[in-house]
Order: sequence, then C-alpha cells, then structure tokens
Amino acid sequence: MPELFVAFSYKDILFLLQAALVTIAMCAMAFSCGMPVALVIGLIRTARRFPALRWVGWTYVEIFRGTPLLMQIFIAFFGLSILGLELPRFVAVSIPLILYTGAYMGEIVRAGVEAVPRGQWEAGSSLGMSYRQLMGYVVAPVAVRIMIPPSVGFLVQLVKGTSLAYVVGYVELTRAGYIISQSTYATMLVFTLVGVIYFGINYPLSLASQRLEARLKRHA
Amino acid sequence: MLKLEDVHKWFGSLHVLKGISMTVSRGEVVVVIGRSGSGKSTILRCINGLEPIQQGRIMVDGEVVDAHSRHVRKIREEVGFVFQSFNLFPYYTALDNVSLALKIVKKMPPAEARSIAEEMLARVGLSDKLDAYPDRLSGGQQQRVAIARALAMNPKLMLFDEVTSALDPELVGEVLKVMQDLAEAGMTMVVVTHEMGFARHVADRVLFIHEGQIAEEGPTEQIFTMPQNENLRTFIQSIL
Repeated sequence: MPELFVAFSYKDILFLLQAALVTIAMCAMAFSCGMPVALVIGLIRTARRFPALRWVGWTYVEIFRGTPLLMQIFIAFFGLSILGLELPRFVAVSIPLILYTGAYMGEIVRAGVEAVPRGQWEAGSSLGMSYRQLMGYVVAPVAVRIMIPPSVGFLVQLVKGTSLAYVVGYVELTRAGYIISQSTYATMLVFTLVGVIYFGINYPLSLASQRLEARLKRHA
Repeated sequence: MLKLEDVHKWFGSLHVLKGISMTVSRGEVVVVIGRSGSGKSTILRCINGLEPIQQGRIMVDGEVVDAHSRHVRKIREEVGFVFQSFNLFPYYTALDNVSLALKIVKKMPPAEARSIAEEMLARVGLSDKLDAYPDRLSGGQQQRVAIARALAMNPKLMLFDEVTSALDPELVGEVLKVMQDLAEAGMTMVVVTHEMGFARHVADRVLFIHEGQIAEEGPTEQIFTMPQNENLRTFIQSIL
C-alpha cells in the first residue's frame, strides 16, 4: 500500500486547502450577491397587488429550480464567451451560482414572509406603518427567524454545488482533488480528504445555525 | 367624528355588509352586538381601511377612508384598533411594542417615545412589565399592552374588535376595566363585544347587526329592556 502514496506530499494538502479557500470564496460571492436577488424575487412573489411582477418572480424561480445547476454553469460559462463576453473564470462561474442562489433563497424569503401571521401585518398597518416600515420592523424580525434553518440547508447545498464548477475547468476543491489524484494516483485518499474538507466547511455552518436559532427562539 | 353612509362590502360573491349607515359623535361609546358572522367585525375593519368597501362612504373626522390610497395611513394614525388576538409584536418588549410606531411613524425622538410608552403602560396598569416580552405576559396583560400601543398614537377614535373573546374568563375583567376608564375619560369608542354587562354599563348607544344590516339601534337601556326587533329579542334571550 504505502508505495501508492509515494508522490503524495504536504504540498498537495496545501494545494487542496488553497482550493478549499476558492470554494469558500465562491460560496461567499454567490451568497452575498444572490441574497439581494433573492430578496427582490421573494418580495415580488408576495406582492398581492402586482400579479405581473408575481409572474416574473415565479418564472425566474421555476426556471432556475427546474434545471440542473450543472447545465446552468455550462450555459453561463460557454454561452457568455460565445456572446463575446470574456469574463474572468471566477466571475463566469459565479454568475450561475448567484442566480441559482437567488431562486432558492427567493423561495425561502417568500415562505418566511408568508409564514408571518396576518395579524402582525394588520397590527402594523393599523398603527399607520408603510409597507417598508411593516417589512423592516414587523415582518422581518419574525420572518428571518423562520428562514434560518432552510437558509443553512441551502448554504450547505451551495457549498457542495460549487463542486460542479470543475466541469468548466475551474480549480476549486473538487477540481484540485482531481488534479492531485491524476498525478499521485492516490484517488481514494485524495477524495476522502476532499470530502473531509467539505464536511469541515459545512459542519460549522450547521452548528452556527443551531446556536443562532436557539438564541433567536427566545420570546417566540 | 365617524360617519358611515350606505356602506356595502362583498367578500367575493358574499354580501357581508348591506348598506350600513351610522354616525358616532365625539366622546360617544357605541357598542355593536350581533351573532357571529353578522358582519360586526367587518364594520370595524372597514372603518380603518383594513378591508376595502365596494359601495358607500366612510368618513373619519371629515376625511374619507379609502383602503387603497396612501392617505389611509394618516387616518390609521388617528384611529386606534385593538384586535381579538392582541397581535403584539413578539420580539419586542412591552415598552417597544408601544413605542415602535411613535418612533417610526410619528418620528419621535426615542426618549420622548419612551416616556409616552411608559405613561401609557402605567395607564393600563403595567408599569412593572415594561421590559417583558409578550410570551411572558398573560392574555389579559397582552391585551392591555395592545390597548396601550393603540392609545400611544393619541387617537381620536378607538375601535375594539371582540377584545375579550380570546381571554380566559378571569382575565376579562382587567381588560374591560381599562376600557371603562377610557370611556369615562371621554374617548370616542366603537366596541364590538359579546360582553353584555359591559355594553349595559358603558355604552351610550347600542347597534344590533343582523345579516349585514343594522336591525335595531338605540340608547343602551332601551335596547336591553324594550327590544323591538324579533331577532334582537331572541339574541338577547340567548345571551342573558
């Protein structure tokens, strides 16, 4: 057995960890840029008085949820270059991840807002609050708490989803594992390590969300 | 102060208010009674624009209530509404529940909003619960916070929508007491309730709603001692 790992060195581990940082950066990018999209989508999906807007939001969500992320990455990556847009790889890969986040988190935002009891809206409006004030001061404090568990669920899914960027040759954690396994032939070891690193990213997320949930649950 | 002229309201094809006309003068306490589903709560919800009306006109202090206009927010600032299910904001303390709208709607400085909120909570007997969250308060206390929250806006008119119906029997009294004090202080009030004792003691006038119409109205004593309408008679018998 040992001779199989001969070529595997600490440098490879460093390479993997570096690639893990890329994965984290992609997630951070997708999540921070995807959240504003999600807010817009989620809020227009709850806009009772604007059916046309609601339809736009619905279409967006259905398209991005109804097609594989892998396909979205392909289309964004190669489609953009066919259109003559030569974007840095990181950006080209981030765009589909952002839109994907927008769709899933948009649904979470919508569900959170709709789960806020009607009476809360009515209490706020009867005090003369505007839509913005209602959303910000009355609905959000309740909705955000409802949104935490599904959001973390999505975030974990997103971390794993970024591995699909390997298909366009972008070197994130999974691609890095592939590269090392090609040169060292220590496939099992390398991908076990890759798995451990993914787990190492996701598990603290789950723990943090549990804590946050418990803290925010007070007074519910 | 408050005037309804031939108000009609449909929920889809269901005609719930069939031409309600009524006036309430400043300082008057009007109690609205009637069976469940008669439309009495809907009247209150239309008065502050929570429900739009399809026909007729509602005026509060000379201003037309249009549920779809922005102006309705101005009217709501002047019309306090207390709900059956309290509807306190769960993640705000009693004090913050009362002061929130003062700060964000009335744009008051925090210190001023706080002192008004303290004063209002004292008025409903909850000076010792300023920092309590709603989940730590009894139903009666929550409803009193809700009353304080509405009062803090310094409304010209207060609407009470079956505010004791969700309470345990032993907690009803403390809420009614607050409402009675308010009535004695000269507040204009429209109260939908099943508490006939309260109606008899506090109301200046009683309206009996039956199937979306005002079937009978008159001074409190007259309604209870000499009901004319057949439906009102059976209603009063069934309740007393």
